[in-house]
Amino acid sequence: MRYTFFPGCSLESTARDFHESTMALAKALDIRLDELPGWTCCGSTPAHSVDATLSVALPAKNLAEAAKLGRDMVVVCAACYSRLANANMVMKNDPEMRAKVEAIIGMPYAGEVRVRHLLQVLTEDVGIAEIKSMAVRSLDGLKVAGYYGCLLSRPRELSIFDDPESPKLMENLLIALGAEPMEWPHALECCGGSFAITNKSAVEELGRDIIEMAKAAGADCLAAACPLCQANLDMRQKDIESKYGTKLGVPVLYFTQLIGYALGLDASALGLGRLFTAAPAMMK
Amino acid sequence: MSKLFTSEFVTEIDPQGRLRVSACYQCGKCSAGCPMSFETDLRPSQLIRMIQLGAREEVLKSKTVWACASCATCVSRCPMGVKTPEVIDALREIATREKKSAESRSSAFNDSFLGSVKRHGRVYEPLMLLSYKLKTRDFFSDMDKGRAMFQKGKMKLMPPKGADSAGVRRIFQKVEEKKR
Repeated sequence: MRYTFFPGCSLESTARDFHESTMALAKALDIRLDELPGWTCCGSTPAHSVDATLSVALPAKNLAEAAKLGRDMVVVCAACYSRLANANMVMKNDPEMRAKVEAIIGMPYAGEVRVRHLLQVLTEDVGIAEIKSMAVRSLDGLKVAGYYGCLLSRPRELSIFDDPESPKLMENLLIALGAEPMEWPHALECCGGSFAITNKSAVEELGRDIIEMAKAAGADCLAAACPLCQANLDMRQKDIESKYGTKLGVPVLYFTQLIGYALGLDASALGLGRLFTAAPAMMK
Repeated sequence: MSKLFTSEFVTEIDPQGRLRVSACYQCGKCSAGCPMSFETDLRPSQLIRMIQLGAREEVLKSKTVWACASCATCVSRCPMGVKTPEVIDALREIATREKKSAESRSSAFNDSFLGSVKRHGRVYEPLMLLSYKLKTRDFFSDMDKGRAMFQKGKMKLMPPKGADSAGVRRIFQKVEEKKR
C-alpha cells in the first residue's frame, strides 16, 4: 500500500507527536507514506475567512502536484483534510472557479486525486481484522471517548463517516484492540480550534464542556483525530482546571498513539512524552 | 424555477443562489446546535433572516460574523441546505473590505497566519505569533504556552524547509491581481 502523504503545518510543530505516531504506525502496518515533495499550507481557516479563491487555490496547488504522482493522498490533520476535500469538490462542480484557480496555480486540475483520512485507510485498505491480528498488547478495559471534532464530519458532503452525526471509525478499531469506547454526546462538538490564538476564554469554555462530559461518561482518556483539537484539550487543560476550579486530568491521545501502543510500538516512537497530561498508566 | 424571495443583500452575498440564503424557513436547528452562541449577538437563523430582509449594516456589524468558529454544525443539520459558514465567510470579506470589522484580533491573526504562509510556504509559528502580538499589542498572553510547547519539542526554531514558497507567493500575487 503506497500513498502520497500530506502532513500539514501542525505536524511539523504543535502536533509532532501525531506525525511521529502516524509514521511509526504506518511502518508497522506496511503502509508506505511518501511525503508530497514541496507541499505547502492548505490555507486553513484564515484563507477561507479572507478570500474564497485563495482558499481553493492553496489546497488545489498541492492536489495538482499530487495528481502527477497518481496515488491517493493521505491526510491525518482534520483541517487539512477539510480544505483539500473542499477544493476537490469545488474543482469538480464549479467550472468558473476551476478556470480561475487553474490560471492562478498554473496547472490543470479537475479534482481527480482521492483525499483520504488515515482512519479510512486503516479501516478500508488495511482492515480491522488485520490490525487486530497484529496486536501484541491489549487495550483491555481502557475506556476511551472517541473525539472527532468538526472537520472530519462536517459539512455532510465532505464527511468521512457513513453517518456524519454518529461516527464509528475510531470506535470500531478500538473495540477490536480491547478498549471500551464510550457512547457520549460530545464526539463531534467544536473545541473552538480556529480561536486558539484569538479567543482563549471561549476555547477554555468549550474545552471544559468536552473534557467534563468525557469524564462524566467514565472515560479514562480521549482519542483525538485532529491536531487542533488535541492541542486545545491537552495543552490548555491545566488552565481550564484553574479557571473553573475543577480537577480534570484526562489524557488526550491521538488515535495513532493508542493503536500504535497495541501494536507494540514504544512510547518514544509514539511521542507519548510530548503529552501535557500523561498517557494512561497502563501505557507506560 | 420560480423567482426566489430575495433582497439586494441576498444577491450581493449569493448571486447564483448556491448558498440557498433565500430558502431558510427559520426552523432554528442551526441556532440550537451553534457551539459559539454564547459569544454571538445574532443566532445563525436570525442572521440569515436579517440578510433576507436586507439589513446590511446590522448584519455586517454583528459580532456573529467574527464569533463563528467555522464548525459547520449549522449547515450539516440544515434541512434546506443553507450554507451558513460560506455566508459568514462572504460577510467577513465584505466587512473587512469596507472596514466594518468588529473584531480586530481575528483579522490580525488571519493576516499574520497568511503572511507566514506567503513568506515560508507553510506556517512558521514563532514569527507568525510575533507578528500577531505586534498587531494586537498583546505581548503577554500565552507566553507560558509558547515555552511549554518549546519544552515538549512542539515549537520549531528554524523556518520550515522544503516548501515551494515561490509557488505560494505567485498564488498570493495572482489572487491580489484578480481583485484589482
